[in-house]
Amino acid sequence: MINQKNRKPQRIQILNTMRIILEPWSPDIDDPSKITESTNLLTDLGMDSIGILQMLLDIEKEYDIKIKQNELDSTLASKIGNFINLIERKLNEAHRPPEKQRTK
Amino acid sequence: MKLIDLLKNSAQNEPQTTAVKSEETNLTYRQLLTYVNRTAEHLKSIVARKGANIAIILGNCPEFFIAFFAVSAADATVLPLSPAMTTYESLFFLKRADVSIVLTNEKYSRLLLNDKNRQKTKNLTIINIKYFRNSILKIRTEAKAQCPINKQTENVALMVHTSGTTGKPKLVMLTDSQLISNMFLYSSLMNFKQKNIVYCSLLLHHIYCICAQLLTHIYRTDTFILRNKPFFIKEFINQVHDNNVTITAFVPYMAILLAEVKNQKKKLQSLKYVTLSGAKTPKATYETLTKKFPHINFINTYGMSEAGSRIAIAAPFPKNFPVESVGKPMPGVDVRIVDDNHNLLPPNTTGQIQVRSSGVAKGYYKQPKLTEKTIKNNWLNTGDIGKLDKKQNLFIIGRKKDIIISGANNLYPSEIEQILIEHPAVSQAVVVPKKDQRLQEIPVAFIVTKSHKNIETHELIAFCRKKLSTYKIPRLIKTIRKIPKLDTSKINRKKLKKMADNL
Repeated sequence: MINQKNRKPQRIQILNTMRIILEPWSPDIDDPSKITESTNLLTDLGMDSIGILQMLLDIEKEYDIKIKQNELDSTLASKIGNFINLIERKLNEAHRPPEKQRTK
Repeated sequence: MKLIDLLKNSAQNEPQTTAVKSEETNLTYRQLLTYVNRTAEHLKSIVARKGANIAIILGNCPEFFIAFFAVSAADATVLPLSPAMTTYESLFFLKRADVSIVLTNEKYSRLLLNDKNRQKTKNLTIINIKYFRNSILKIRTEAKAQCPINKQTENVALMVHTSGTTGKPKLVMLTDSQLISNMFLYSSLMNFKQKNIVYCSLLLHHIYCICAQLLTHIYRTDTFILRNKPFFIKEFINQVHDNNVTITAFVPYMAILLAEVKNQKKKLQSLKYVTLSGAKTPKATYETLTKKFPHINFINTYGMSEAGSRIAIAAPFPKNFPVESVGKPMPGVDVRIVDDNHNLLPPNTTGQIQVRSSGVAKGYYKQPKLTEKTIKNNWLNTGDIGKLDKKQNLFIIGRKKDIIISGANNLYPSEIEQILIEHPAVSQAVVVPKKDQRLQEIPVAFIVTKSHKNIETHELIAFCRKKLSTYKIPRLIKTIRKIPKLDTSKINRKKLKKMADNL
């Protein structure tokens, strides 16, 4: 996996990373490109709580972000696109310049 | 007394009380019993006499309750299996347990019917069971076969598996009286003073949930809130609040997630009891929880399938149990600590935990030698390591050899190793636990490849995923040149564990 800690990735890059992370969880999907933003983690991939926790660990490690437990729910897990939104938001927070610089 | 009698009594005393509530539907005790009876009639029409082994592959839905008690009403033996299992796993257990009927949902029956190994179990009757909101219970037989009588499980109410899909599986046989006596002990010790609203998020097929949730609260005519989706702490808190939930059962990872939340005390006001089992809850987590939520009783418990479930609990009162203990053995359950030669050890000395009670299992299905070895003179050798202090508080120090506890699940390394070795490029594989902050342990595999060729990790993971449930898939696979050994044959798992923790 490409380490993306130091630069802000494009949405499609995040999706591609998610495809790699999710590969073990999707045995019925022969072609990873079939995993799209609208894929449902629960119904399409049949992921359980443990799977989602493990996937989170991978995402946190990959992007050096921290996702809080109370940010997660079934709506979020119902679409990979929702997860990408969350990752983007976290990355924006991380990439936002410090307060002082912005006011200049 | 049979398991079905618990439900019958409750339905007779309080027919209008809500028994189960799921996202789609509600069932009163009277309705539940009606559907149980109807399903039992259907089962009886297939098996003429008692003694069939019937599997249930269903999640936490009303149909699980209907199917579970219907099997009891039909004088048969129930084997609950997780719907998260791959068909490779479920077909293994169905065959080894000589199951003749499977009660499941449409999705899983399709998986079973389409599996290329279905030939192995062509003697299987597959029944779809679906309850609709408009009070219609649909029972459809998808595949029909002969159902022979099984003499070995006559009088056995429940079978649970305590090993993976390798060799001869360990299928623990429990009778009605073993389960009911254990449930009575547990229930009286919890000393509930009022009606409970029970939140079920852990899969009900766990022996922990069958005793501490299903049987206990059906007997007490309480109401179940069923969660048939992954556990998210945010949704758990909202559902406790919306349904006035009073009790739930956790395994450590759920407790760890709850300990992480902030400012939710008000929303959890109705919650009085959280029972903890599956593995040891970390001390720091326990202390955070009791500090954050002083109104909730967090109750450590210890049990295992072979003991008919609960062995010891740190019952809600008095509250002065040492944090790291799992409480005292339940009254009626004798616990002793012995050395390797079965000599009794004095208090505070670490040794093997043995248990004797009316709940101890009849034995392992079709494994008389293993049964004899495990249960001697009515004493069950748990295989766990622990100690009792002078006040009879039980401490669990170690557990059965090689088991990995990840989240809510027990993993058996040999099962994962066997699948890895089936890959054409792998010559040896050893699976060990790696410490994990939330899941406590995660499985890590060390492999040696044939002629030391390189192999892509994701290829191996995808290979495992075809046969194993997701939680069993190694999270890291490390190729090494040689498996470290203690002597000529014994694998040095301790060293590998250390290596895993440093990965």
